[in-house]
Amino acid sequence: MSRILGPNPGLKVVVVVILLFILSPLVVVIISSFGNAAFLYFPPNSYSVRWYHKVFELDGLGDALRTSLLISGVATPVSVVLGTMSALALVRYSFRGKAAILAVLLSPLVVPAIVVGIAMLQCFRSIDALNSFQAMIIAHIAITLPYMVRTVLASLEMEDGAILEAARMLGAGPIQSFLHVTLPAIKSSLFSGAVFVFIISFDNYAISLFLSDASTTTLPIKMLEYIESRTDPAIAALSSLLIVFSVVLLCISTWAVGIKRVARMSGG
Amino acid sequence: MSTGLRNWLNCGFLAGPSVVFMLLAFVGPVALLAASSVLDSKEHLTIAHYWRFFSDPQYLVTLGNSLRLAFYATVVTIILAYPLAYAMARLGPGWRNTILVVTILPLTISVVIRSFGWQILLRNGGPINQSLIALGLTNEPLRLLFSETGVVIGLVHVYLPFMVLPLASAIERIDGKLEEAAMILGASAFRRIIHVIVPLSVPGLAAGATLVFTASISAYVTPALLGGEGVQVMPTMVAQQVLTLLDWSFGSAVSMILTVVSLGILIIHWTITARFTNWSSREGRQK
Repeated sequence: MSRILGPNPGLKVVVVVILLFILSPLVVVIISSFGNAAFLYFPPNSYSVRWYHKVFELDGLGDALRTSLLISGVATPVSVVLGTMSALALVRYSFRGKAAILAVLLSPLVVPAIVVGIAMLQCFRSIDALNSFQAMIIAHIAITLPYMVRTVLASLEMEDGAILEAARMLGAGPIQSFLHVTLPAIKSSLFSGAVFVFIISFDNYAISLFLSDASTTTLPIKMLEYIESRTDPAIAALSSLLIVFSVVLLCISTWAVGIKRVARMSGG
Repeated sequence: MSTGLRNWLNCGFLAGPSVVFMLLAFVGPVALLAASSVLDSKEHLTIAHYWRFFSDPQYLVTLGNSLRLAFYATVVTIILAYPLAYAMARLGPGWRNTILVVTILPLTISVVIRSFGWQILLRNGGPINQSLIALGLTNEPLRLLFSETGVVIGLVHVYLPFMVLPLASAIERIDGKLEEAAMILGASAFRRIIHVIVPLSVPGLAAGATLVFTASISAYVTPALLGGEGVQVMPTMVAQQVLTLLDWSFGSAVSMILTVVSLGILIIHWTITARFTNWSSREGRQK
């Protein structure tokens, strides 16, 4: 087909321009981070790496990073386990009200994040039994669980029922057949799901904004404070480090499960 | 133990914790927020908060801003997504993977960082304005940052992947022979796109557009960072009412209006898709 339609140079130029548009804000942040001046310029007049040393002197950065890692680090595995369990129930059993249960589990996907944040703040404040850190973990599980349910459902639906049947006939119990048949079949989905869900939680701003307080400030909230209060390239240096971190994560997941599956995760 | 009971127990064990969790942590709080939007300070039923919203032109302008910016963002996203999706489907695996990686990469980077990058690019002394002035296209810097233009650019950048991916999979399903036929019959590239690719990729287009539009009207960070004080949209208004003015009742009413608008668009999309699917499967049976 490409032989008849021929290569299309016009299309390629347009595609490259759009890809540059997509990369431009990231590239600009990285280049500015190497500026030498005390004020962030683009392009910088002279280059240095001195702002990378300043990153670690940023006020409260360590605490924010620790809070973020802890929240996402707890929310991700909980979400993976709960998501897998409920997807198994939805695929393996037929029962009344299945659609309603699926709707409940996926509901956070259709409500604007800011509304979720306000609703949780109002609720958690009125019960007053949770500290801000616990509230944040609950919120992060609630917003990541739907993605996990959806991912595991999709991969379970592709599973070969005959192998499962064979395992059962050979006397494997439900736990054995899950560990030896189902788990190997869905493990790459679980992995890409976990990476994706970790990123969603780690980058969340709109919901954390409402639930955070002075003692529990997540990284995105702290970063926005810096962006609004500082004019030097230190924050660009910090952003660049996080961009590199994301690139590494993306490379690892692409290498582990293939680019197509990573795309499917984010494609909605 | 009967099988029915055992199935029921297994199911409860597997799905129960998630369902209970979601009801307590999400459905409950949203229901309470909905309730507080129709209660006055003495906890009597009232529509006063909604009335306040719909009777004040200032608030309606905010709703209009949200809808307008989301509409612009969706249109620009469609225009940018088509070439990418088409190239992914038709230019071979090299292009396909490059486009995929570049499209997905920003998704893994905090929207705070991306907006920061746009702030550097769009500000008055920034590279875009400098090049516009150098090219003689404008004498003084255009107000790109803290304007609606900035917000639309930011939204397009954030939600482009949500359009590219469904569109690419829709175009992949279009038989290349149709394009060949159109070409042999003398259709130009432009006519092939308008008469073959676009009509046959409508399902992907509709899915992408719905995602981009609903995500854009719900976006908070992009308008807050790239729109500034001057561009008020529904999510920034909600945050302002609750966090700054501490007006919970009105804030919750605005939240509900935003939710209903966004959910309404999703439901329209689902209804149309369902009808279309039924219709096409009926057609299939008749043959």
